[in-house]
Amino acid sequence: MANKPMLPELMKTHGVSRRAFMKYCASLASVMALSPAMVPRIAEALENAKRPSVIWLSFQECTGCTESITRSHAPTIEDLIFNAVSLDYHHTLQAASGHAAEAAREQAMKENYGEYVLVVDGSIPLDNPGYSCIAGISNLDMLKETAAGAAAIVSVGTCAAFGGIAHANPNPTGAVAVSEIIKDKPIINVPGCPPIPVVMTGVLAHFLTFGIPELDELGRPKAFYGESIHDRCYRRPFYDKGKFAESFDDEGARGGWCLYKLGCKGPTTKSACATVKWNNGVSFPIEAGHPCLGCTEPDFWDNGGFYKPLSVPAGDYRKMGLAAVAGGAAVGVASALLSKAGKAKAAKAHETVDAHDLEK
Amino acid sequence: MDCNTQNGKTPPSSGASSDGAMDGVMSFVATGNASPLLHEIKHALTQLINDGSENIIDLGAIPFAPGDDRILNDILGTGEVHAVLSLQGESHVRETGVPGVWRVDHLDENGEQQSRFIEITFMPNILKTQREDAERGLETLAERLGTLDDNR
Amino acid sequence: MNNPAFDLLMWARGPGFDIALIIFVAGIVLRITEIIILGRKKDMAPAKGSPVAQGIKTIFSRSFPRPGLVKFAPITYIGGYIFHLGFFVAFLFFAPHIAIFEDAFGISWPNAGRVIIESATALAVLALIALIYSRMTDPVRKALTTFDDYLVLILSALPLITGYVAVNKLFGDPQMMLAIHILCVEALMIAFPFTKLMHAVSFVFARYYNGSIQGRKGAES
Repeated sequence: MANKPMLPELMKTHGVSRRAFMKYCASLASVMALSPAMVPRIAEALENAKRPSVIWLSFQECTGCTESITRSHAPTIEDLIFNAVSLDYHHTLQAASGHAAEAAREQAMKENYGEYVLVVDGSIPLDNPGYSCIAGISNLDMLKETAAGAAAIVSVGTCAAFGGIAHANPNPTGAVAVSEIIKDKPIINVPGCPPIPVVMTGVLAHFLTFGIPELDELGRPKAFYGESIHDRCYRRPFYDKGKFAESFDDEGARGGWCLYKLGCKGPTTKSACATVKWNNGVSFPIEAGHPCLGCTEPDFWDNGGFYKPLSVPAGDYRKMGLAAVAGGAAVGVASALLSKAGKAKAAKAHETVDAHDLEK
Repeated sequence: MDCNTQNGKTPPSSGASSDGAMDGVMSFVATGNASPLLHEIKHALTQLINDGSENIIDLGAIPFAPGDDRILNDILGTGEVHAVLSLQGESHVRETGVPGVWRVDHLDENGEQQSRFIEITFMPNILKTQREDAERGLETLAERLGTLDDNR
Repeated sequence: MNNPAFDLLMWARGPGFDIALIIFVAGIVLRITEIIILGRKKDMAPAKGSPVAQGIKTIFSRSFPRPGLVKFAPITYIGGYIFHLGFFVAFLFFAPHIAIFEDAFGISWPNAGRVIIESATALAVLALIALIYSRMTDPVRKALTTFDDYLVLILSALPLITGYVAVNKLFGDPQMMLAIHILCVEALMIAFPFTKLMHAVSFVFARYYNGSIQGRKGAES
């Protein structure tokens, strides 16, 4: 369980030299946007960190967040960090199941009450608890029960952070984010659909070494969610020059031009994709030729459509416009005929007009 | 792009650069950050010579495009030392053509770039043996010597 | 959890735009229909020239001021030109705006780079400031000014200013500033049929009528 081997012991067991550990701390500092001068502090903090118990609850989710974090690359020190935490409960990764698994969770909670880290992925349905249950316990109950003894909560993925796809129109299950249920514990939101693996581990590493990182007004760590995609996008020079791809695979798209007209939500999306990138810095959606979906922002599923440019109205305005033309014409004809009739009547009655009438 | 082969990074198989022509174009996409960075390096080197204080610059911390890399490589050049470290993936420690200015590039196990630094120092810290590793080395050596003596 | 800025942005892009569009389109169509149906008083005198030809000519000739008028009211004319040209360039040649037309009507045209758009916006705003200043300091024009005049000046300036702020991320949350920009545009659209902004459509009729009246009399206009 928790508070067992610290990182140095683990490194020794796995044959990882301190030099390799220094390399990891340097890369981690770079990813966390910390100065290289902080590397010795990070190393010291990681070495001396107690091994916290981590309980991972998966609710209404697609398991994409777990996949993203655990399967992206060969075993590295990030994996070691994960081993440095005592992952006492995780549906997908644990060997136990059924009553044994729930017993493990309860024991971990009791032994580490007030100190364990609760990681949540997936949204919580409020309409009917039966929509999502684990071992007969509804998500809502399990979350409340487990959060009571947690030191901090990390909401991984847009579903846990903001409600995600289940929360999208018309939200049939009444899905909500973790932060809408738990109000009395510190919550770190790590949104993304899924989040970048190294962002997730970077946040965990920061939490282990320095505690909760600086958060923005939506509870996201500023180190990774402080800049918008648009401001860091390598295609920005094309945007500034007014060179846009008009459709997929046209000349502009092949020339790597800006994807604004194809619906890119980069300007209103804050995430690290443009700098940290995916698959260890290989690429990210825009570099691969697809406009940004805005998946780190709340309600990105309802933002008017992935392929509708930000400037274009999102509703069904064409019908409204045509109705307005017809309506306006009809009312206009009616009003004009009325006026003409009034004019004829006035002429017949030999009514006079003076300057004050004109001002009406 | 020449910076890719220098760092041992394989060119991405996807992305906008689907042909070499785009790579050629991209190597001229510059942010203008190369010049201030080089001045910072010069300042740090002056400090190193005057009072021995070292400096590390994280290349991942500033917007840096392939064009800036090209300028950096052109100005700094290649030096006499190139060390390849096997540390959970390769790391390349190179002294540039300007002695005292070192490039430290970390790759992960897939050969992908993890982080890049410029160190202005007489000897990058990562090349030195770490004390804890030497202590562990002593244990290992003692063990092996024990086995050697046993088998005589 | 909802980002209030996002909700505002989606309202502006959704129901907000629908409301504004209905009022805008219905209002304009209504008034144009009225103008056409109400028509003009029939002139019983025999025509000395062609009303139609002169009417159409006047639509274009009035785009250039009569000699001497610019010297008479330089700020009004020069400021007016700079404002209108700057506004049209910023509105019609900025790619995200062209995307709206493309989505609505399927047509598109080449766009201008950011430098041109930003210069046009800045010049238009400066021209508006000059116009509002001259309106407030010239005693005759000040006496003639009504609420409508000030309202229209401000409503025309707001989209330019908020658009510039939103694109350049000068301050504020990007989603909020974009929402505010779209809301300012919608305010302009709603006010359009009820204020002198209608001149944007009715100028065609006004110029034609004036030209055709003179043309019928055999005079130039």
